[in-house]
This record gives sequence, structure tokens and C-alpha cells, in this order.
Amino acid sequence: MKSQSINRRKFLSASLSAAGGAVAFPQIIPASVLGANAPSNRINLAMIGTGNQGFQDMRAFLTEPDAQIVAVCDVNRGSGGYRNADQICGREPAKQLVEKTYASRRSAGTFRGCDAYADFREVLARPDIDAVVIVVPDHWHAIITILAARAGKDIYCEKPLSYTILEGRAMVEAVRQSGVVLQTGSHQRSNPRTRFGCELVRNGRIGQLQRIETRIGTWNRQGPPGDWSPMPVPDGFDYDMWIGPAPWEPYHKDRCLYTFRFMRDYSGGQVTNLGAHSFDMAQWGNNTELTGPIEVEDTGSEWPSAGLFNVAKVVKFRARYANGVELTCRTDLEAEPDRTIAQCKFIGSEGWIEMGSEGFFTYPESLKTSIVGANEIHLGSSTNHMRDFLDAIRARSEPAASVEIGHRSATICHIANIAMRLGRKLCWDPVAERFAGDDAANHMLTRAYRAPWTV
Amino acid sequence: MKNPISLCASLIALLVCFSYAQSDPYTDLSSLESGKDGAARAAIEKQIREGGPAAYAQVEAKLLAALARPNATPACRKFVCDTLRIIGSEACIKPIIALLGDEKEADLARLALESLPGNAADEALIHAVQTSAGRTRIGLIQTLGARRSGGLVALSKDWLNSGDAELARATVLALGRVGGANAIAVLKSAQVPPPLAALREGALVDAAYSLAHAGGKAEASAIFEEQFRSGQSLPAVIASLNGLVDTRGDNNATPLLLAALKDSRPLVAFAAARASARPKDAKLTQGLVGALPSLPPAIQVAVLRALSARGDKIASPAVKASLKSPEDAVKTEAALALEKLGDATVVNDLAALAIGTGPAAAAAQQTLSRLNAPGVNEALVAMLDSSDAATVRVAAVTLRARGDFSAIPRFLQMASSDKDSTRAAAIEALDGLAGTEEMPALMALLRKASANDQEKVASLLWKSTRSLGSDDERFVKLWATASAEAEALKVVILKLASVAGGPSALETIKFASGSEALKDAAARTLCQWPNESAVTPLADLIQKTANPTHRILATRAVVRLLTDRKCSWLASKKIETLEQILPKMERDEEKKMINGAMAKFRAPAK
Repeated sequence: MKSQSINRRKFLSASLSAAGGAVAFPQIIPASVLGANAPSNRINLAMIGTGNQGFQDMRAFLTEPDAQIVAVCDVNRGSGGYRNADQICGREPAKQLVEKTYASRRSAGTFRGCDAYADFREVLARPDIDAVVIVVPDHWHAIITILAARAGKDIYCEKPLSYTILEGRAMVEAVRQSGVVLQTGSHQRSNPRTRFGCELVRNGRIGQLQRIETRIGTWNRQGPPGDWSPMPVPDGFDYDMWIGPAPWEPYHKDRCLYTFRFMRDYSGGQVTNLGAHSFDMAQWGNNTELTGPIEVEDTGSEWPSAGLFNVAKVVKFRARYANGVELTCRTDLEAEPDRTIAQCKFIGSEGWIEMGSEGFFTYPESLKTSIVGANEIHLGSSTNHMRDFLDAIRARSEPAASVEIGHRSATICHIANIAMRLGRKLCWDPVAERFAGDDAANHMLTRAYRAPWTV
Repeated sequence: MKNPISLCASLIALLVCFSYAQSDPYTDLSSLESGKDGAARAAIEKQIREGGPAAYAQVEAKLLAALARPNATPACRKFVCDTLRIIGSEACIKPIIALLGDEKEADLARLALESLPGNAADEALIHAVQTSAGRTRIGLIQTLGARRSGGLVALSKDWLNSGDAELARATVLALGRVGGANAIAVLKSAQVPPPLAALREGALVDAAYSLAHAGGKAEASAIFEEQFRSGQSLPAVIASLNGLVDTRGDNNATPLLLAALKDSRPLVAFAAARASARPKDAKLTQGLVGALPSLPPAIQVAVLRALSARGDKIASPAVKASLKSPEDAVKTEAALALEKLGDATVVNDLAALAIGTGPAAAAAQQTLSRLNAPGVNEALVAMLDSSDAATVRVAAVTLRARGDFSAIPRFLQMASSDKDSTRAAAIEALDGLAGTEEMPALMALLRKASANDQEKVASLLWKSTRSLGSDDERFVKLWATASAEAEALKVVILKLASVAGGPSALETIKFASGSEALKDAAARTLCQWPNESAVTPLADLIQKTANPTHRILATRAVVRLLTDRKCSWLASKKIETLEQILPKMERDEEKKMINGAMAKFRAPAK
């Protein structure tokens, strides 16, 4: 809701004269502070990852008047085959979109000023870039985030925040230590309906909260069935960089781009893809967003028997919080195959509230028009996730989905995947962030990175 | 429904899996190829899932046996290492270490060994790192760093000074992760190449954090201090500032933060403002308040956010003063901070700000709605007497947003005011506040409402029934209370039937009898119906009515409802209905509309 308009150039000219000149502050000073090449009020952004979600995020940032996308980066020069065969993404199409959009706003009708990169390290080395938007496959989130934090860049990182729990904690520490702002792409935190629903739960409108039922969509893509053969790497696609810290595997088109989420080497399936939203809502309403469950148990997950995709085909687990609330999750097998369902239902002693991708429902119905009064709990005020990120950059404050919140929501995805993969009940210590008495489960808290990648 | 090819493939996969479940999935594991024999892998994973920890040793032994065969493929090695990452024991160390000879397989070996606890794994890795080279060595250094293996420190000096930038880089990062006094000493004394200087500063700070975490707060604080004072890398300087705040203790952090707020480097000042939210020292609040007016506006914004997070109400007057800042961003942030810091004395200032437009006004309105302090509601109620219409409106909508039900009688009174702006503010405020208890008063209000206000008051009346059950039940009850009312009032209430949209409401409309005005209202309400249940009565109306306006409106409604994607009728039934009403059409416009809809229903589905 805020759009702040301090004239940065004015502020900095005063600050710099006090400091005796800009040369004392080398590469790391962001343009948002120096007002370097950009108009004084603009935050210079770089998009790292310009696939399906990257384009969506980029379009949203292009509407923000005080942000300017000055760089895009992707290992793919440009091709189709993202969410569907016809969707064309990659760094060159992204650069074109950015320049076309900015050109349309100028009287001259032209704009050149967005650079395209294949290697994110070149982006992080640019001193004029204030913030990066990280929209790459999950196995890359931690490395880029931590390097960006160490370079003093503010960060918008898509959900799920991490690939493993230990790297999630490392991300939290890096962000905290370097004092940068990180917004997790859990956009429901900026959805007024979701916030209202969670406020109702927190304020006891459904009585004592007893259970949280979450439901997520099925695999919305099918991989090559049974046996498959490696393929030649397409021209313009840096496959070695795409694999990055993950174990080496031969190229197949379904390994990369949109379907990366169905292979354990890079992601955690629909648990991390859609569950990251559902569990985040659960954490918010349950007031457990800075902690997590204490127990998690497989209740009938199903796994593929062959093929390239190897994440859980049917998700089914139960978790329990220290406050006695039970969280369940299941794949909605009745839903249409292509629906991206991420739903969360809070069930209390006197009613229920359901929210998410499928809509907002309450019992009793009258809860929908309930007023959250001045003497009750309010959960922030963001109504636009990108705007909230930019405002947090300016105020140097915690955004709606902070790094700790993002890490804790991702942690539920990970401990659930671990419990389902091991097929047993696990006791989770949300303070120590370890499983009690289960070596195999603890081994899965991290994964060695392929050299030379490291955090 | 799956297609036959997909079904066939699933069936084959199931059969293969079943055969593996029956036979030994380890038999051909050595010759595993990428993209082939996925069923063997799935069967082994199933064994692990179903067998639990009791089965792990046996599975491990079989995996290692497969790995030992000379024909073991890269795919086999990857699968074995990935699985041993989870179930592996010390028994796997020796055979896995053997994979380190090949650069690509070394990555796989580290998959299995990095999470394996115990000294045996450490020792094996330390031995291996000394005999390895290139990318393999770099990977092993990373793994030892991740394991926080102290044995790495003694070996690292040579690597730091080797002139190999990649080796030095990996070593610096690993030492930062290992932490502890020894690692810090090596990092301090290392002569790293200039491009790695900033990395070394960052690693030193990382190592200091580890030291603090392990109980060495004083030693860590000294490193942070040194780095903060003389560091060249700004991220490391900022991380040191944060480290100092965490390790110095609340009281000692205050002078540091207040000085850093005025640091000539803006990012350090921003970091200080942000870190100021953490220490509990009351003197810090006083210091921040004292410093606030002299800081650049951008830093003021960050300090105001920190003051809000601290929640110390002694900051309230200073924050209130910031509402007068010439900078919109400062005003906005001050208004937001007052949600936590303000009391009834800030209400007038916030209301004055809320009357305007833009972010500061929105922030002031939000804070007024949430400010939880004694006397706030009373201050807002007092504002309802203001002669300024904008002030009255802000007070009214704020009381509504605050859920102040005690203001309802006052709003009902205001809703009868002769003054348009007062009436409008009251009606806006009652929306959502008024409930079933207010139904008689709202009915009374409706009786005397002007034509302009009638619809708004009727909407209020409808919303006041929200706790009376389903929408249909609500309408039935509301209609019953209106039975003794004058026809003109019934007309207004009858129109709410289409908002309810249920079967009982529909019956009420169908059988509405009385004055021509009421019948007209019933017909027009039917034409507004939100779902297909009205199509048949609408078709009847078209057939029977002599009123051309009703016929036109009803025809448009029929076409709207039948072409709605939610309509569940079969195309044939839709066409039949439209064919029946078509002869009644007198104007080309409606004929064209009906023919267009029928053409659409007749077209084959895409």
C-alpha cells in the first residue's frame, strides 16, 4: 500500500559530501542509494531465471514505477517448451520484453538498457544492481541467494525457499548477517483474503483450532514413461550450468525447464511446489510461522515405479504441532489433472475456514463479513507482494514473507518428503532443526554440492 | 481418463516392478543405464521404505556389492551413492572413497559421505584430500567445510598460498564454515590474492559467528570489532556490525548503533537502523528518538520502522512529530509506526492525515483502524460532531473498521440527518456493523429514505440479516418482516430476492401479487436472477406478458443465463427453450441475439 518517494539523489548527495566523495565506497553501493545510472528514485533489479514463473514475476515488477529491470539472466538463450510447448522464455525473449515495455513508456518509443547474461555471477558483480529476483529451479536457490546476500543485494526468491533444510538455515543466516532484505515468493502473504482468513483463525472465530487439512494438485505433467534415452543438449542452453550443484545426469528435455520439479535431484515434487503455499497458510493461521511441527508421518504416499520422474506421485502425510494441532496433506485425486491446487482448511471447535487457489469458504458463512476489530490480532497489510518487497527495501525492514518464514514453510515440505520417502513417523525438533533418533532422516537434511559449487 | 498408450505404459511398468519385487532388483544393478531399469531402482527404494532401519545394513551390503563389480556403470554408481547418502554406515566409507579417483565420480562419492557422521569419515576424507587434485580436491575441501572438520585447518595454509585461485577460494570458504580459533588464525594470516580479499573478510566473519555460536562470544566480538572498524568489504563490515550487536550484549550495542546511524556510508547507516530493532536497551530508544530529526529522510524511514519494531512507547512523541515531515515517505512510516506506539492523543493528527490522498493517508487510515489504546474510540466518536464532512467520514469509516458496535445507535441517528454527507458517512459505516438487532431500525430508516438512499439502505438491511442462515433463508425471513409494510417498501425489499437467488426467493417472485408496481418489480427482479433456475419462469413471462419492456428484459436474461458457462442444461434443451420464445420477439435485436445463441449451442464442441 505504501509507495515512498524519498529523493535518493538528494539524500545521497548530502551523504556523500559528508563522506568526502563516492570513491571511498567501492563496488557494493547499490544504485538505489547512489542513484548511479538510474533516475534517483529507482531500484535497479535483475531477473535471475526467466522461465515460466520468471516471466510472471518480471511482468509484475515491470508495472512498478520505482523499479527498473536493468538485467536478465538465464542459462537458456531462448526457446519454447516451458509450461507448454508454445511458451517461449529465456534471456533473449526476456530482454526483448523488458525493452519493449520500457520503450512503450517513452516518448521516443525506443529503449536499450537491459543486459542479458548467461551466468548469474556477472549479474552479482554489477555494482549498480540493487536487488535480484531469483526464479530458478529449487536446487539453485540457496547458492544464488547466499552469494547475492554476500554481495549486498536485496533478494526476491521464489518458493520453495530451499532445496534442503540445512541450506535453508544457511540462507537465513546469510541474509540476517548481511542485513539484506529477502522476500520469499509466497504471494499468499500479500493476498487480503488469505490474511483475513488467518486473522479470523488467530482471533478465535472458529473456536479452538484443532486440525488443518491441506490439499495439493496432482502431477500436472507426465514424464517419459518407462525407459527413456538421453538427448543432445539444444543449442543455446548451458546444461552444465543448469545442473550446477546437482549430481550429473545426461540431458533429457523433460529434466529441465518447467518439469524439473518432478525429479528429486532438483526439487521435491508437488509437495514443495504447491505445498509450499498450503503449508505457509497453515503456518500463518496456526501462529507457528517461526517454528514448525514436532512430528511428521507418512500416511500412504505413492511413488512412481519407473520413469524419469521420481518424486511422490500421491502425497499423503500427517504432522502434529506442539500446540496439539494436526496438519494433514493429500493429493487431490478428484481434481482436474492440470489444476494447480494449493488449498488450506482450518477446522476449529466452532467452524471452519478454507482458503487458497480454489477460493475462500467459511462455516458459518457469516464469518466472511466478520470485522477484525482494533483490539484483535492483525497480520500485516501487504496487498501486493512485489510492492511489499520494494517498500521493505526502502524501509530496510522485514517483508511480508521474510527469509525465516520462507525457510520454515519450506521445512515442512522437506520433512514431509523425508517422512514419506522413509515411510515412517519421525520426530522433528524445530529448534535444533534435526530429527530425534533417526540417522537416515538426518542424513537427508543436506546434500553435497557438485564441485565447484558451494555456499 | 488416461489414453490407451499411457495405460499400457503404466501396466508394463507395474509388471516390471512386480517382477523386480518377486526377483532380486540388485542382480542387474551394476549394468544400470540412465533412462533404463527404473523399476529396479523403484523396487530398492520400496524395500528401504517398507523394511525400515532393520533392512538398511542388508541393502547397503547389496548396493556395495553391485558397486564393486567391474562393470558398474555411472548410473549404478550414482544410484548407489545417492541411496547410501541416506542409509549408509561406516561400512561404505572404504568402497566409496575409492571412487574419488575420477573427477565426476568424486562428486557422487561426496554425496554418500558428506552427511555420514563420525571420525572415520572425517579421517578418510582428510586422507583423500591430501592425495587428490583439481576439482576433486576442491569438492573434498567443500565437504570438509560442510562437515566443519577441524582437520582441514592444518592443511589449508599451503592451499591458500598455492597461487591456485580456485583452490584458495574453496579453502577460504571452507575455513569460514569450519570456524573456531584455529581457522580464524589461518584466515587472518593468509596472503590471499587480491580478488579474494573480500571473500576472506566474509569468511572471517562467518568463522566468528561459528565461534560465537560455540560459546566464544568475547573472542568473536573482538573479531567483529576489528572487521567493523577496518574492513574493506562492505558486506563483511555490515555482517560484523550485526555480529557485534548480537555478541556485545544489549547495553553495549547502543553507542555502537547510534554512531553507526551517522556513518558516512549509507548502507552501514541503513544496517544500523535495521539492527536497532533488536537490542532491548531502553537507552537505545531514547538515542534513536534523539537522533531521528537530524538523520537523512531515507534513514529516518528505517529508524521509524525500527522504533515500531521495538514497541517502546516513549518514542511516541517523536514519531508523532514525524507526521509533520515534508517527506511523504517519512510521514507514511510514522503513521504506520503509530499503530504500535500511539495512543488516543495521536488520533486527531492521524485523522487529519487520513483525509488526504496517497500512501501517507492510507497508512494513517490503517493505523486509526488498528490503534489499540484506551480512548481512541471516544476520540473518534467526538469527531463525528465535526462540521467538516471529510473528518466525519474518516471517523465513521474508522469506527466501522475498528468494529466499534457501540457506535451503531449514533450512526442510525446520523443516517436520518438532513445533511447528505453525514447520511452518506453513516450508511457507509453501518455497512457490516449493523446486524439482526438493527433490522427494525433499518426498516424504519428505509421507510423514510429518499429515492437516492433507498437502494443503499436496502443493501444495509440485507447485510444485517447475514447471521440468519443461507441467503435463501435470509430473504424469506426478511420478506416475512416486510409483510405488513406499504407496497412501496415491499417493492424495494422484493428486489433483494435476486441477491439471494435461491428457490424460496424465486417462488416469492413468481407469485408476487398486488399493485402493478410490485408486479413490475417482481418481473424486473426475475430478469436480474443470477442462475439458471429462473430460465423457465422467464420463458413463461415472455410467453404471457403484454409488457414489451418485460419481454425484452426477460429475453436478454434468458440468453445471459443459457450462455453462462455455469449453466448445466443440455444444448438441446437450451435450443428448445430459445425456439419457443423466438416467435414472441418483435424486434430484430432480440431475434438476432436468440439466433446467435442457438448457433453457438448447435456448433460442435471444440
